[in-house]
Amino acid sequence: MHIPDNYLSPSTDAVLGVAMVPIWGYCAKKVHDKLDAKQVSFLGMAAAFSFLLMMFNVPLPGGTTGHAVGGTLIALLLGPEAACLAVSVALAIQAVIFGDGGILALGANCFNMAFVLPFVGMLVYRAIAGTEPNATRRRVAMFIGAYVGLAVAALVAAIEFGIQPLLFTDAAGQALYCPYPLSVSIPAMLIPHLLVAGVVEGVATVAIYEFVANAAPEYVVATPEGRGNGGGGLAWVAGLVAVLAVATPLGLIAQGTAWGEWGADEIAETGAGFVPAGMANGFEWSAVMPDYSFGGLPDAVAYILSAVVGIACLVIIFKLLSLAAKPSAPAAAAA
Amino acid sequence: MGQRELPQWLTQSAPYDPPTDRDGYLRRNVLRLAQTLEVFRAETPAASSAVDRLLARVPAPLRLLGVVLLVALVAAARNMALVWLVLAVALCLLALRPPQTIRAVLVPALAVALLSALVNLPAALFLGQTEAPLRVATKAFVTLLLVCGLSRSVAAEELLGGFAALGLPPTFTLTLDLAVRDLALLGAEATTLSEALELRSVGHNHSKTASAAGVLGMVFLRAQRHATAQAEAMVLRGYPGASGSRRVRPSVAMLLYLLFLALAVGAFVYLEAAL
Repeated sequence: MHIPDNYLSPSTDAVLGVAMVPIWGYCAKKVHDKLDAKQVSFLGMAAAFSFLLMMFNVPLPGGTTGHAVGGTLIALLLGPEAACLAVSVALAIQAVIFGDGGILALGANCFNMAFVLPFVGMLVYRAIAGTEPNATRRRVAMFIGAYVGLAVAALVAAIEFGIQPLLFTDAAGQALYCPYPLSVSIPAMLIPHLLVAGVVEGVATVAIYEFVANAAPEYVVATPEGRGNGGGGLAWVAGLVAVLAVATPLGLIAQGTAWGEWGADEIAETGAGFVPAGMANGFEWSAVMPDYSFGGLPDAVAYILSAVVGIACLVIIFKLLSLAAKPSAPAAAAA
Repeated sequence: MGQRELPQWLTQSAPYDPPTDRDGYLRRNVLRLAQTLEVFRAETPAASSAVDRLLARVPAPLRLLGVVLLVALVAAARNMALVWLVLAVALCLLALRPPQTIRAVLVPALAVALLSALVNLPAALFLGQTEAPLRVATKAFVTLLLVCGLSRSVAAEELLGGFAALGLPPTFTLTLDLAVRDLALLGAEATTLSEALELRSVGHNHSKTASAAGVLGMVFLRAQRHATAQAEAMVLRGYPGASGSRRVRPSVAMLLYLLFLALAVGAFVYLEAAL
């Protein structure tokens, strides 16, 4: 679902980027009002879950690959506004350092995965869970919320892809950017996400939420039923992040490229029959560690190292942001 | 008790509006220099994170040698994969520290990396060596992360205290030790003097350089007084200046640290050979 550069026209990128500015502003204000320094710091760990889930590629019908995002998971832990910021930062790191998702398309990717996904996921969860859900109903609501959130995000991405050949063509009528119309992009994006990726998103959301709610319940602030004290604390959560980071090479087993993420040299072979002019001559970003690889290192080692660098960057960024947050309860009491 | 009336002269207002003066020169130069000297204070930084508590079990001289070795490997590496490896480890250690420490380490590291990139920018613009600014900036960033990380978690006194164990001459160790202690003391005194000068300055000062020279002169005189007192104390106690070497006991943390250094050297050799 990471839209690369040049699949969308610069004007589409600009519109979605500008649309994200007030959303980021609103979310930053809400997070500043609701979360204290400790919780903002924990947001880095939550963002790490999202970053890692996006590295676990799963094979999808049609020979492509997909992945979970974890947006609804963060929304359930710390609120959809926090999820929006966390996934946005994770996407920015993926785009800038690893070349996963476009730089110009960052606004579009954030719109789909950082805004639509967690907000829809949380909305569906609240609608199903009601006010006082029992454990089973809560888990079902989480699963369906995460599943629907990912599916709607995929649908929005498919619409963004599909309107390109309608709006941007050259004099000969050939598409300048993504060549596939809505009749192709919507089923191509939606069916694999409904069949496989959505299920992975739902299962991962429920499993990780339950783990965090048991290990560090003081960090579950968005869902009232999760609040509390006790458990093993943050060390257990950090341990789970470490285990997931070491397991990321499993994501290399899925062969092939995700739909809509082919390079300009690959797209002609996918059935389009030509390389759109906007893609052939478009913007190119030289990522520091392209495709999660390091020159000279085996793929699996490079993948784990990429995960480590990504997690460390996310934790550092949100720890720095926690300096601007309101003091957490014990610190405030001591002051 | 009856209420006394204020004397007439005290009731009259005497407005005094001193001409405004900018103290940027004093702040940016003398005060900043004095505060920098205070960094050499001999206190051990609080081990406020799990990673610092673990690293505190590794002898300070070994950590110093380890950082020097890593910096040398990063500087000599032609294969950037090693630089990314060390960067990953340094970022991991940094991520486990408190936000204040992260900021204190990251700000100078980013500033130096940016400066390095800017210095190398002409090579990219005019000679087409587009990778040069990134390589140099990344290496500078990793080096600063390692060095600042060490300086924030180990006191200067601890580092110097272990030099004897490395076989350095006692005179060298003593001189460095005294210098560091006196720098910290003089830094604190210079800060106090500068702050007092700043607080008591009224009106426009046309001779800021003379004021700064006054502060530095006072610091110099006090440095001389400290040195004399130190020498007299050593004579009185019969202390010749030679200190016994500290025995380093091997620990699990120390062995793990040595293993990590060995892995770093191994990775360097492997990656350079693979180039």
